[in-house]
Amino acid sequence: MIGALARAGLAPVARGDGGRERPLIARVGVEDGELDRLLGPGTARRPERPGGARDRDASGRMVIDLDEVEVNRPIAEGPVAHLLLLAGTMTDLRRAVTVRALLPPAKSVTIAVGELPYLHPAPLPVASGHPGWRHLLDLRVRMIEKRSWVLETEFSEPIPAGEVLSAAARAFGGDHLDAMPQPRAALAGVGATHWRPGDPNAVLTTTPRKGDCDVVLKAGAEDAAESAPEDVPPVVARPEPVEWTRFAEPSGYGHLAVLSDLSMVPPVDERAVNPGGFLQSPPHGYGRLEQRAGRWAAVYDDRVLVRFAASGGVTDADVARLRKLRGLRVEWRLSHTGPIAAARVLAGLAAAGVPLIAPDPPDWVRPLLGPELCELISGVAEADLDDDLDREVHSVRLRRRALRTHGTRARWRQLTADEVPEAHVAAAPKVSVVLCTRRADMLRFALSQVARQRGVDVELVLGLHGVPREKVTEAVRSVPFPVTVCEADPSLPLGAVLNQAFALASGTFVTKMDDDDWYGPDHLADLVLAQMYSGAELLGAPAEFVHLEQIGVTVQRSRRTECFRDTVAGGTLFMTRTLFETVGGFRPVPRHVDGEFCRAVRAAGGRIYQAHGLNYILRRRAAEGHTWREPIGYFLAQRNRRQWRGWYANPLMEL
Amino acid sequence: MRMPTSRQLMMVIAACGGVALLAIVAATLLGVVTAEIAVLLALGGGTFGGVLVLGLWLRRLDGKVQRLSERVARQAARPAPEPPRSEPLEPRLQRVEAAVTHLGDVADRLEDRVGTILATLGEDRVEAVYRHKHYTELLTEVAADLRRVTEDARALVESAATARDGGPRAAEAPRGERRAD
Repeated sequence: MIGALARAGLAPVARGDGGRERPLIARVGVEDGELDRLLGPGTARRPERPGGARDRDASGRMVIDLDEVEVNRPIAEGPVAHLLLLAGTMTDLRRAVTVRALLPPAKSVTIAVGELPYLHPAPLPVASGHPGWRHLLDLRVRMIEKRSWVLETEFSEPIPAGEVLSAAARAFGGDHLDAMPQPRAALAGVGATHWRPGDPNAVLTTTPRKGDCDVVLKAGAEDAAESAPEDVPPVVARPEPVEWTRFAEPSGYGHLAVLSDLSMVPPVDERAVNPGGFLQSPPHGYGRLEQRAGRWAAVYDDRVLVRFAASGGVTDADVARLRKLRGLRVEWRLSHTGPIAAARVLAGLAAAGVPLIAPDPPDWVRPLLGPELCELISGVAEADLDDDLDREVHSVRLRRRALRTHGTRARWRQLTADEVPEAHVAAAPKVSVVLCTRRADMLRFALSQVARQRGVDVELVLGLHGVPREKVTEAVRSVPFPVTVCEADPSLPLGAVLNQAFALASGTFVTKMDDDDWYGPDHLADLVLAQMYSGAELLGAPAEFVHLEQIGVTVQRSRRTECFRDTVAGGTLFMTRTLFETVGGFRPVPRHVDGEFCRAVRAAGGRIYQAHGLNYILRRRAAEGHTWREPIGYFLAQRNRRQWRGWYANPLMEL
Repeated sequence: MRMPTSRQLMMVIAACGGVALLAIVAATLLGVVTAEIAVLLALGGGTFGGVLVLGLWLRRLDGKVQRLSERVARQAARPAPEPPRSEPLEPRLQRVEAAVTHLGDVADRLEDRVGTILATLGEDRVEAVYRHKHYTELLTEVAADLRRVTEDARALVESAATARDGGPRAAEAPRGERRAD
């Protein structure tokens, strides 16, 4: 997938024209034919030996495929003048980060990415603390025809090219920091990049010691090493993906072990493949996922939109091309290149929230996808998704399940649960809910909304704004989570009360909930997921569903979701405690505290991500009961998607 | 006129020389000429014969040379033979190349087909394994159910028999254990 890179003029760079030396060329996610189109015919040569990704073309040019590189030796012996890295998509670039330590120092590094989703923010790299960045002479980022990007750097002294690669990957991902959680892993074998994408801290050696890492992952190995010495960390082996043809061999039964459970499937890189960009009302109909030339391809109206990689890895560009489809129907016969790759395609698409319809799934896919995900994709028909809201509900269920079972973090927890159980941080993150109220009559309702949250470790900080503590003692005593009561001076503005309550929060994340709104049971867990895949500093949901109590009507407003926005609903603000402290808290004003907070985050360079709105229903009573005092006509005059007489909750609210 | 061969020439000259020698000897014996004059005539005749042989041999040689020259001139005047006509190489190469490409395409297609067939077989095999497993589990469950039903039925029969023979108290216990299924 090289997009418009063929018109980026990289061939002269690769030839070393203009007085420059011929570069060392590395590729990832770029197929042979595409490489020929980019750099001229004859550039691509398949390695003749396993792991033999280092080959020279006819003109003596070195071309390295980073997906097939051996991790036990560097790509070049010493510094090189120029390194040219070609990546198909951002997802591929993140895989390259995993083997960044193999790249040699270079005075000039050019990184080209073939296709980014349309309107992706400009990838502007931020230098790390590496001293090599002091030698930077020139840095240039250019866009080629709206979707392809080329980043060129020049240094007065050679700098490890891996440093530039990491900075570029962070830039393309839009993150200031990018890391994988513990345990620290050593990777061995060919194809290890697929198992820990985007990990700049991976150890690349075949002989790791316990001091270097906590666990070793051997890719392409049938089983872990026999009795390992004391000082060698535990080894997890994962066989290479087996193609269908291998099962037809006389020894085919021997490969059935690879279909045992979902940890045999390489994980989905949630930072690259996620629900971001989901369209609530897509313009096109249903597509088909069917076999084309030996692989699965997404076909719509007899036109191939995406042909998936043989490995089954789904990329952000693949997902972007499928966003305009209402759904994708899976044709099971000849499922991609093999069972592992097929399951990987489905897991990736599900994690991105692409509505999948896969009736009658074969039995082999159940252990690989997990029974819940399998039930989800096989339990719907096209007629069930004709309604936009039903389709989005299905999508949210898919992405939740896929991200929680097939995401990189989840997969590593499964892989190393037995080997290094002590290395994991808690599966359920601690979230402090800050709930400020001046209405004692709403307290029991508000507590019930907090109590129904699942998948997170909840702590409640209850800010009493004019409500005496005695009035809430009884209600608070019965809740099944820790509660901290903060009794604020009634004369203080709401912003100041919130600041006092936020200061008492002890969770990793802090969120604000309103006392009269309805929240789905996965509201907080979904925001934790969104924080993980978006990397945004501040998150929230839109006020998409509003119940107008005065006239007994519920409306669904037209709101773009799963994207970066300027503001989110005040009753859903979700952030890290660090952000709250960095921004300096809420403005001490009585109204518009949420909007002011969003403004402060944006001004500080933070990004605000709006997740889906199916977990939240805003209750609208008489205007004087709210700090947000828009008249009722405001909610009716705008273009609404739908309207219900009475109270309505979508199925995800579970009410 | 055909040139006499050197042997014929030598025979004619030898015959003439012999006649002349006999005439000189006869003339000398008859005393027509003196002996000295006879020797002189013999020597003169011998020299004349030698000169004649030489002249004739030279003429013959000259004739041969002339014939050779004429043959060379004839050969030179004859037009050069045309080289054998050969077909241009390029179209042939192109045809060979196209054939090789076609063969490659056919081989690729066949390879694809074989690959597809093998993949289908592999997929069928995997599905068959899982189906076999599924049916084995089903059979095990059915066998267990059947065993239970048989045992229940047997117990019922026994209890009915007992009830017929022994009274209501013995018959009540098994009826209470009857399963709904």
